[in-house]
Amino acid sequence: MEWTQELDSRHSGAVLRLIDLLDDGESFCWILAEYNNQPYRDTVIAELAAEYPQQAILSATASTDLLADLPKTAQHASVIHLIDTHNWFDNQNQQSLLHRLNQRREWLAQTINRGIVVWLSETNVNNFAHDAPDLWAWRKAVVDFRNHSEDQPSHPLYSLRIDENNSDYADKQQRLIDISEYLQGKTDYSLADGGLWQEQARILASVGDYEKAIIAIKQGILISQANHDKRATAICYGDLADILHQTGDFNEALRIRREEELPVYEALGDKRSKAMTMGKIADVLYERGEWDEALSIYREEELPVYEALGDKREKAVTMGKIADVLQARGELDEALRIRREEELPVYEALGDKRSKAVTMGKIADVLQARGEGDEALRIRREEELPVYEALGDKRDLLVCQTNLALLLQTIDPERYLSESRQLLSQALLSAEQMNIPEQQVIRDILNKYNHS
Amino acid sequence: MSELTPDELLTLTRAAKKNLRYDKPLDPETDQALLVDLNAARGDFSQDKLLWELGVDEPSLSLDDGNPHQYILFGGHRGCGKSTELRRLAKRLHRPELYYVVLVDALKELDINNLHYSDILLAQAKVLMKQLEANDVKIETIFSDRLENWFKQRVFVQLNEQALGGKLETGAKITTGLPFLANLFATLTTSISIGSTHKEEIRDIVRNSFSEFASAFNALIQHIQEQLQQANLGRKILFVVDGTDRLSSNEANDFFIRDIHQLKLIRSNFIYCTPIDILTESGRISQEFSVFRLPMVKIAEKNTADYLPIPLAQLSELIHKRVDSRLFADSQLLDKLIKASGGHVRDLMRLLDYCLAETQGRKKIDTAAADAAIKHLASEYQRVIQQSDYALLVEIDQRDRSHVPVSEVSRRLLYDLVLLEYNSYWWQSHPVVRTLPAYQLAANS
Repeated sequence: MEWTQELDSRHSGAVLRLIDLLDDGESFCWILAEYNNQPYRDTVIAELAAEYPQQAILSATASTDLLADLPKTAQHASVIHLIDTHNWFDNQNQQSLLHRLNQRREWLAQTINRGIVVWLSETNVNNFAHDAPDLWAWRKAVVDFRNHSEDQPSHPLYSLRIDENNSDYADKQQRLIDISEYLQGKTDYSLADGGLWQEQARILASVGDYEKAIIAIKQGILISQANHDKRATAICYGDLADILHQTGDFNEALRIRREEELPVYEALGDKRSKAMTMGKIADVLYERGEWDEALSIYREEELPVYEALGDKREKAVTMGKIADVLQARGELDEALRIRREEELPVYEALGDKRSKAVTMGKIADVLQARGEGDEALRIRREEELPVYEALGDKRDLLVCQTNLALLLQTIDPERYLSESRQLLSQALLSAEQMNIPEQQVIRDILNKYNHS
Repeated sequence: MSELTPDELLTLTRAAKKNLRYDKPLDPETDQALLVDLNAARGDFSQDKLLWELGVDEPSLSLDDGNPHQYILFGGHRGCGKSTELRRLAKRLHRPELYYVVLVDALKELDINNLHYSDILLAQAKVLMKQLEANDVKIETIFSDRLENWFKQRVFVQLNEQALGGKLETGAKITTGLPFLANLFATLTTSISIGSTHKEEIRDIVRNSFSEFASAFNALIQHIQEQLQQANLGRKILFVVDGTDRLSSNEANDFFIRDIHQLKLIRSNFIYCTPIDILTESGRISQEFSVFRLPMVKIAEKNTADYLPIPLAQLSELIHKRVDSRLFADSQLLDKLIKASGGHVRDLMRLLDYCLAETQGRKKIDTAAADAAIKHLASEYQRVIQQSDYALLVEIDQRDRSHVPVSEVSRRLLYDLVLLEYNSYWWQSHPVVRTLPAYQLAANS
């Protein structure tokens, strides 16, 4: 197979393995392909067309009767790529389809004498193993086509921020000590004390000490409950879900949002908080690769509430999340339009410089993905970096420095190597001073460049 | 009516003039002699409903601790007595069993001509800190550290320390806790109100680190509330913000609608004084706030010539408390002026003041003086009315009570007091406007 520039060289082994497993595609085999970037998945499939000109792509979401469509497609295709399978794990009906496939694996093998490549996100590979154990047992292999975080220049340091604290690590440590000393020996906690436990949890989570953060926020929950403050309890539960989201425990984060947070805001008649919680549920689904479901929540459950409330800021934030999903799905033009026409003007009107700079950064991501590196570079240098410097926002600044370094490397690795190293060194120093989890990612990137 | 000597005339006129200052709300403590409770004449407004919203049960003098945070708009025409009413309310609520009331007069603290939510929140923090200091309320520094940290990390890193004044820097070095915060917020508020070169920078800092500020302020408010309970000074904090009714239409929209989420990020209880036109905004206002209107004193029902005796009597009492009755050549003139005011208290006082200006202390207020005062006031209104407005005013006046056509034009007319809103929600043009030739022409055409 002829290798093109668009495929990551580190996936050459995976491609060769996949071709080896599929052979000529004329006999049944069930292969799971793991991915985390939809445009890249499409690129891999397109590249495989050179080897399998008769291959077909079948969307599990678009098909109304997959059990009928599979044998039909097999009649003319050599290899079938089964995509958009995320709904199998979303709702009951589709789950029963997976269940039926699982029960009828022999029928599948007898009817379809073709290679079937099922494209799944990382989480759904795991779900597949649990939800369809018989089919899982028949897998020929799981082939990894995931992009690693440092390969994704769009948001290499994206992480959920649950703490606005701009302090250095030493100051955070001092604050933790002060809070501990104040709370030590207290037996009867007031709501204000509960707030201190919550603050502790946020600081701990910001430095990656999730275990202690969870203990602290659970204490905050108990105090809020003891003081009969339902809203404070729901807010603490929200923090717990944020922390679990950060640790990758998406299922528990989702359960808390749905069972502990939402009912409180519903009972209080707090439409905005309810919409925000729905948005956070969608954030988790987005992270799990369940993009359609996430989009549907952003569009149908969140946006209408903000529109009705006339809350332009939250509407713009939600439009930004929609653009995130579209960007991930490769719909770059629409994502760009949303950023420019529906997000930026709102932040400009509100005088929110930070949000404007963050949005400009995302526009730069899209331009970068479209190969418009020069304009992306101008934005990073002129419209993003100086704003964070002026605002004194260290975390945003170090993220931007890292993104800028990555961008420079995509434009001209040799020419910009020294500048990239310098930017990354500055970013790493700040991240170390703040002791935030991003420091390891930056260190890895810097090491890579130091060895190049 | 008894005869007065020239000296007596002058003395009484000067005394009356002093009592007719309408640029300052009455203080329930010091201005008791001038106060008249007009609520019975206003129709459906009652402080009791507002107290209920705030979780207050007055008979038992208790506060419902479980009552959620309240964000209340208190609206009405300019000059209808909102500020006076708010001060009466503040006095009624400021007690150990109920609220620790923090009265923020935006007119005194800030530049009302260019007001942002950030300015108000800083002023609220300033007044709260000063009041706590005055009441010798102690706070644990662990709860104030976060706000101090916000200041040091967000304000000091962006603004030259000297730019904010040497006083603040000195204060920052020698104190922490409440004195530091009181000093900090006073300095920030002053920098904003005097329109210093750093005004916009300070606003930017607050806007761009608002969730951090709000979170730290909320933690402190919760602690302060617990300290106030222990010190038996109040169960909860209630911020009463006066002066925000002076915001121009656009700025009021920005403040109460566009930036509502920011205002509501601060978790406490608030009553904001509001211009009347903002209350006619579609459902958004009522979704976000509990709305209370202070109606005009209704002196007659719409389209009737029969005036209501109780309001006339109460407004007469108001006049007598301010202007010696011997200054009127004819007691009927009181009714004439009250009717011309449309029940708008400040306009009534304005008319009286104009009458005094006509007489200059040399004679009693007679029909000629009253007519001149009415004409003077009408000519002032004429300046803010556009020619095309008259047809709408006539249309509203001639239709029944249910005709309240909300539009940009009618909102402007309400804001400018050309159109008056009465309880049970009906509108009528100001009586002096109806005397204008342009109005008469529109009515006859």
